[in-house]
Amino acid sequence: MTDGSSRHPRHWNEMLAEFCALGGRVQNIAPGSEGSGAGLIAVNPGEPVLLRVPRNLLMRLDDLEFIDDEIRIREFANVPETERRFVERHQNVFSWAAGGRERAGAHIAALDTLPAEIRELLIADFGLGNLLRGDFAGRVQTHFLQSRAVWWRGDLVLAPVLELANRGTEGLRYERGMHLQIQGYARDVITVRYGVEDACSTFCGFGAADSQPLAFSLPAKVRIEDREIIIGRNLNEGLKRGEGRVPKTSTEGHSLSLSYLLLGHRNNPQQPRGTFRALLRESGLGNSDEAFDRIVRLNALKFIRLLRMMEVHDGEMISLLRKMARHQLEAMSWCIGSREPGPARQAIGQPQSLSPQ
Amino acid sequence: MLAGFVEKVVSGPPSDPEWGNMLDEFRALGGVAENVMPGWRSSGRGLFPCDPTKPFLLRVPVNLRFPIGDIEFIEDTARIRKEAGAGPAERQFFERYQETCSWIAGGRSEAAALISLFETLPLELRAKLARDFTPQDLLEGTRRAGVQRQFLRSRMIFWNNRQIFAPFVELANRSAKGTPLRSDQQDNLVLEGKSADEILVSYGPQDALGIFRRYGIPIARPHSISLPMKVKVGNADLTIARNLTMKAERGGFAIPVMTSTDGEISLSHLMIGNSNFQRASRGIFYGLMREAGVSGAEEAFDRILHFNRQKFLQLLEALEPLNGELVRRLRMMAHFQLEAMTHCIGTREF
Repeated sequence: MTDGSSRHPRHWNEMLAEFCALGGRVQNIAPGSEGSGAGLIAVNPGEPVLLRVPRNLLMRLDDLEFIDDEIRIREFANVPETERRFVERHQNVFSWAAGGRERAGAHIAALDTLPAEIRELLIADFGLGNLLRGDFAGRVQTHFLQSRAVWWRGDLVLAPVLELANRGTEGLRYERGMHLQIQGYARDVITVRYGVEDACSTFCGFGAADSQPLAFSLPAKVRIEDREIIIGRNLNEGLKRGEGRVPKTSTEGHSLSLSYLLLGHRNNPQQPRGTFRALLRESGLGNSDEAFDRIVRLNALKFIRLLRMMEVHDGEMISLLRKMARHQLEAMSWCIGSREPGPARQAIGQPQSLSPQ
Repeated sequence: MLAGFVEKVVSGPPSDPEWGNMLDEFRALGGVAENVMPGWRSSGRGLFPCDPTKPFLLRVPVNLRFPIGDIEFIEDTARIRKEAGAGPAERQFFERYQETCSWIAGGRSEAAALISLFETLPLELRAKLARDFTPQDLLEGTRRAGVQRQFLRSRMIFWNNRQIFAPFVELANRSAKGTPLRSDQQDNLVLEGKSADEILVSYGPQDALGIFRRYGIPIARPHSISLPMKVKVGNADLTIARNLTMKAERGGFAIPVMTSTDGEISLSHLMIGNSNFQRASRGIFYGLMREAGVSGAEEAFDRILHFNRQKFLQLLEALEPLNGELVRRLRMMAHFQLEAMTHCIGTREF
């Protein structure tokens, strides 16, 4: 996602040379042509692409700040000077200042055109306050970072060059080892798959309304017997269990907290209820089915309410939101039967490195 | 008749003398009509009490209840078929009533307006609707025939296992809070009550889809009934129909009629959500499957829910690029139906 000047081969090649000198690797990749909407493309689609971002170039979002509308690495951040200079230049020549700001700004501006009651609903029920409340410039910066960030060992980071690639439901997967990389064949435009997301989080994070095989609960609280169950939406906090992944649980007093809750899974529709049953039983709670049904209803009603509220409105953002709500409800409908997860438990640091459940 | 969403009506209600004459004829043939008069609302025609402080009463005897199958249209005049069992006086009454109070007096134009709305939809969507969401014959044949069918569909009452046309009662709009129809000891169809405003009849067991299919309007209902479908339950093949008139009773609940032979089970209908009785949908299904001696009811019910949700979400997807009054109604109907389906929580014994 670069502008005209940054797409100039000389600028691109100079940047890549520096990137590789700092430990990065790039094979068979070029910037997409201006106006094509493609961030990165395969030079020769018959050959595999490789893009490796070394650890030293993965910048934690917490270490970034905006000064005079430029992305800077905070002074106290533990980043060597060479890397610091490269990342800042990359942002200001190829990313944020080269079309990224405009695209993020267009999305925030479109959200601002929504009727007040829909904006309020999106803030109250869907956690979109960070994109709908506050000064415009700050929201644009937030959306830009959200839409480019990737999970890396428990942190959200920006990965230079790699962040320029388009995101989508299909495409190359992130590979996490000593470095963060993508590799494989790409038909022209290089697309990197979203991580563990649902339609709602894809909209919140990337401003896209894509169909996803999974649906996770919105934050919720329900009561069973004398216990309160608190559902979070930290999709990155999970535990490997058998072939799948389950949310982290914690108990405090009469409350049981789940880091997230899967409600529907197109490829494994028995998993959502099965996982919930197992986790609640292990926490000493019975009658989990009724609680699960209530959580599903609470979620479905929020998306249906959004659809109903939008019925009298039109526009591009309304259409996008409708699509998101439909996709989320569709994914939620994939909850059929029950199969409990295997017994093994192992903490997961980077959920996106797993195939989705 | 339907409350709200009534399209332009060409003819007005009958004049006072016409109305009085029709009531006299009705009474002479055994009917009872007290404290009722036609009226207008911005939404269309309706039935009102003459004196809102007093009770109203309509009693329709069997000779004045006309089976829908006995009604035909000759040169756009509604009348009773020759071979039908109605007497001459009843036939004459029916024709005059249609001309003065019903078909010619606004019923035809209401039905035509709805058909016109459907005609604005793209062909592909119409085909999709005909498969799952509207009567299959809605747009079949000539336009005139379609309007006639729609008129009868919207006025028809299911009574004693028959589809009938009941004069005067059919003029009352429907509402979720309307008065239910009942029968008395003489087997009369009775609409009786007190209303400060318009006289409204209850929708009966119809869900949002059922009401849309008959009247073309979106009305929120507390419950949702499955679309017709087939599903496996354990090793058995289950066929679910959408016939709400076939029902049994258990524990105060209307439950579907089940037939079971050689590994094939049929249900006349199946409730899949009810905001007033959230545990009933699964409970009824589990109980019936237990009776049929099959296992796997839990997963089968999930599949039924999934199938229905998918259908309505696919309808919303198909409607997404479209605009217009009927598209709006269809979307609202789908939202109502999806919402009613969410009210399926836990289970109870039936």
